[in-house]
Amino acid sequence: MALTADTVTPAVRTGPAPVADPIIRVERVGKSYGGHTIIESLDLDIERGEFLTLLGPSGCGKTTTLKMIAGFEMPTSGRILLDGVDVSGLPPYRRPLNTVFQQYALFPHMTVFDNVAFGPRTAKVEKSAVAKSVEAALATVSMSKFAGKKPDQLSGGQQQRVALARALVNAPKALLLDEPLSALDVKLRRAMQLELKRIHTEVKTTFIFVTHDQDEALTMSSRIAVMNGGKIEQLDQPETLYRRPATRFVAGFIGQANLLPAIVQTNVGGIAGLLLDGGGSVLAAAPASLVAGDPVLLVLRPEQAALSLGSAQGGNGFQARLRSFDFQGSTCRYALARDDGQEIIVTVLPQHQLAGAEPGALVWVQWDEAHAWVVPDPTRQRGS
Amino acid sequence: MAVITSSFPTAQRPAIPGLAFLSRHILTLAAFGTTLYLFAPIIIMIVLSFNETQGRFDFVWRGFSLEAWEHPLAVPGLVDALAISLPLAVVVALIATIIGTMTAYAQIRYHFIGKQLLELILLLTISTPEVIMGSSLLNLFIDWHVPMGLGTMMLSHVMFDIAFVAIMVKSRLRSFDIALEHAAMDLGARGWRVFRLITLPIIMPSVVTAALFAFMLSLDDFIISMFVSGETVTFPLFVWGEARVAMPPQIYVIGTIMFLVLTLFLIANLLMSRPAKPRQDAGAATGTH
Repeated sequence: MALTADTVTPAVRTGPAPVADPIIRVERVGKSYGGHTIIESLDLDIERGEFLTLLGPSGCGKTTTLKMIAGFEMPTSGRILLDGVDVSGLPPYRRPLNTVFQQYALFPHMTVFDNVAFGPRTAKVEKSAVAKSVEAALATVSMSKFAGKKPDQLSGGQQQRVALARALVNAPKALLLDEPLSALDVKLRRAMQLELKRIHTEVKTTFIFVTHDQDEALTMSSRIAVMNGGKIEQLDQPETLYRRPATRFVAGFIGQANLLPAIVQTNVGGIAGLLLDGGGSVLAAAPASLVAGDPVLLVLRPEQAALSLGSAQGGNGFQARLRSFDFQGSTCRYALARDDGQEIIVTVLPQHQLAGAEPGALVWVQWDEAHAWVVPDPTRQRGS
Repeated sequence: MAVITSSFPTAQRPAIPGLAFLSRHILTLAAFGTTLYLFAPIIIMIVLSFNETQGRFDFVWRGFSLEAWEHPLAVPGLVDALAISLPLAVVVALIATIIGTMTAYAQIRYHFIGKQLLELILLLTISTPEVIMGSSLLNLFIDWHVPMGLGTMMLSHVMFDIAFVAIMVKSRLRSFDIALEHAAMDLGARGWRVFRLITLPIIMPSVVTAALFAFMLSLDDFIISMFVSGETVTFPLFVWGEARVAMPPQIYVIGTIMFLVLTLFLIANLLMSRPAKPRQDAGAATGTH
């Protein structure tokens, strides 16, 4: 069997496209713990001032990547450039970066003020300047009133703010946030997401945020790197990730998606004609790289399809039978099944509810072809 | 079909009043009994410190007297023995606590060759019978022509204290959140600064407890001191010497004072290491605008 180009020259950049003058460049970085490889070769350029999120399920390598940037883990191979300087071998205290830890890691024996002052004092900043910058940092996170309190006198959200101030006071080249909101309850998390976004706009520092929560990532990020199995599957703006996922994994991980196996028939002008596995020809937007005969998955978001009662009614769509229906307040959720057993979920606004639809009824599922999308199906071979 | 009702034989059993009481309070009684058992020697010590002694035999109660408390040092040799034991215990505790804490930190934080061996040696130090340790130390010092006395006692006490301190501090370090050290490093602090400003202050209550323990072990040590003390008479050796003839109540007075001082230390340490107050997480970020 012939070797592919990738195995012959592993030095070739494989990840997302490089950007000019990045604040941080992760270059062909690999990491393994005793024979067990977490990350094989990762490339990632982080733009100045952006809010970049590393998103993925647990064990995907996102936290390891962050720790290597921070200096708590050393890459097994490759290098990390901070503002053009190779910092791969430097310990955390030699890197002008700061981290907000998952459980905040506030020093329990120090007051809020002393916690925030720890960085400047370690850097031997003059006393009056320390006080000034600590006060400014506490003001940024609206915690000025709590300067004299100890961490265990604060709520989770307040501790979170102090942890942010403690990192920001050092004016780091980038702020690293390791799942900082995971310990908060849902309501508070929502509030802190907006707060983080506001602080990011205010301080204009680069934020690198790690989370496994896709909603959180979509809300906050300017760009998201979706990671899986130690690789970046896709690095894009939230909307692009949602509307134009590059892989099956991204399509399934970001938001809800119906994934229907199909074969490409034609692909002209960005619109592909597909033959669904269970029968039926449909249209969907597709990347130009797909050609006739390619096994693919049709990505149909639940909210992008419209429903009408009855059999084939023309337009771009297919027929299915109604299985069940849930009224969910702001939306109505329909579970449908095609004749081959393929299940589909469609959500519609209450005003577009199907009147008088009973389970078993024939329903026509229809969509605007520009709103659906196609990803390669990695599990099937090209059949031609 | 029968309707299922409660199948528990409630109140069916004939009640024996005494037995019912016992079965309800057996745990309390056991706890009370154990506490009494543990405290008995201390209670006897305190009681005997108020004994009115007659002649030389005073292992029996002869009547209440404040005599010994009014003149607690009025036994020849007692002051000399204390003047040796107390400073010795302080110095030993200090040295052993420093070395033991460093040992514990190294064992928890770093990987090094011989880590397992070190662990084994520490455990051996504790589990070796003191008589054997004392006699082998005696052999060693004789072989090396080391004059017996304060110096040899200090070496020996520090040696067995290190293991105790290391084991106590280690158990605290195991539950220490490494993220705190990472945070300090992240904020620019290097090893020593991290240890001095973050790790040590947080584990301090355990270190203080370990130091008190080391102090007591040294102050109390009899068997090893017996072998390596030479002409030096420590407090336990003095008590032993006295007890062979007669026990002056002053010794119980000193014992009682030691007990009280140590108890106060332990209580103070406990109070200081208690978290300020339980925090309430609900309601959270609030009120900050």
